Amino acid sequence: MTDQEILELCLRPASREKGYRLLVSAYSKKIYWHVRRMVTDHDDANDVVQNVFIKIYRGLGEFRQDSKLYTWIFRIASNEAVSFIQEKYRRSRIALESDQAAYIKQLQADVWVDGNDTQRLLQMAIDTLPDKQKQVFVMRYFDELKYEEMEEILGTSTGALKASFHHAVKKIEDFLKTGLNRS
Amino acid sequence: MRPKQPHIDAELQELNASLLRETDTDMLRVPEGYFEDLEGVLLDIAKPRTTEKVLMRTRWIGFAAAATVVVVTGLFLLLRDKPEQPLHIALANMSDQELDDWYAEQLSSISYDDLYAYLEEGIGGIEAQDLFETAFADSSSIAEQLYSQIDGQVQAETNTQEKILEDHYIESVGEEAIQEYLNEAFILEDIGL
Repeated sequence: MTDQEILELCLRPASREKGYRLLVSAYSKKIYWHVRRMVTDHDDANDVVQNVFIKIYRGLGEFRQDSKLYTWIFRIASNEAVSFIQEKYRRSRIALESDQAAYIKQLQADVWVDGNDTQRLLQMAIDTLPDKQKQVFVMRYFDELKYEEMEEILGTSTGALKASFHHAVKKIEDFLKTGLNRS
Repeated sequence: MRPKQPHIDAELQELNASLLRETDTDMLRVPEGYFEDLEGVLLDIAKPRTTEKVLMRTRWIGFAAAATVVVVTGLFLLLRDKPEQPLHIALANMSDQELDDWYAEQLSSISYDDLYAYLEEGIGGIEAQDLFETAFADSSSIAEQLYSQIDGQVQAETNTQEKILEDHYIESVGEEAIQEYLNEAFILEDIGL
């Protein structure tokens, strides 16, 4: 079923519940992984995803169709994840750059994070990116979105998005090199 | 290494991001059966409409009840003559003149017979005068007025009693007795007693 068909079902009160069920089936996994890459922690991602779908469900009746369904959903998800990260870091004041060992230890203790130290280092490198670069990197690298799609989601030109992505990749490479040299 | 779409991999090659390309990024896991559970949880979001309606109805009833209380209270306050106030507060807020008037009004509603009867009971041995002085310490004009009214009443009654006694005594005494009394009086006067 296409996004347009799902949307049409969602917009009619009689079929709204069915449309929403199809929407959840099509997007819950994608949205979870997008959010998880952004916030890292599984429980945090779980909370954020639920908030995202509450917003989606409440907003469906007012969806203007001036953007595609998936770009609208991704926009909500990405903004919600960024808001969560900002709020979390404001509360915890975690300085990732200054406490690499503690961060790695934290990931080691997380039962829903596998992998070796290099992989954890990569996750930490992603977490140290500024919010906008992080959004772009996750969408491009993990969600494998096209720049045109990201342009619609983030409201940023393709050129600016490419620049953000390249900056993010450069920072991650440097972070990995430094971290691996230390260890 | 996680498979990437060719156009993204090509872009990373261009950026010379060898470390990133070689790093396996599938390190994040989820609990078993998580996505099935997640779908159930997310579908429940659509169900709370019932809950929402119930909540809305509960809220509506709550608002209606609150509004009713406000309206009824408002009407009660508007329609009644005066706001009810404890007596001691009402008295404390009165001017001297208002206080005098209030005492006068209260006292005028009591008959003198009742007042006498009340005072004659003694109220634990307290003298009527003390009682008046205490009760009307701040309202001497009323106390004086009451005293004069009471005195007048007492005087009138005393006069009446004296007149009755006098009349009765004079009627009951014969002329001989009067003459005898007068003679004795003259004799006593003569001897200097």
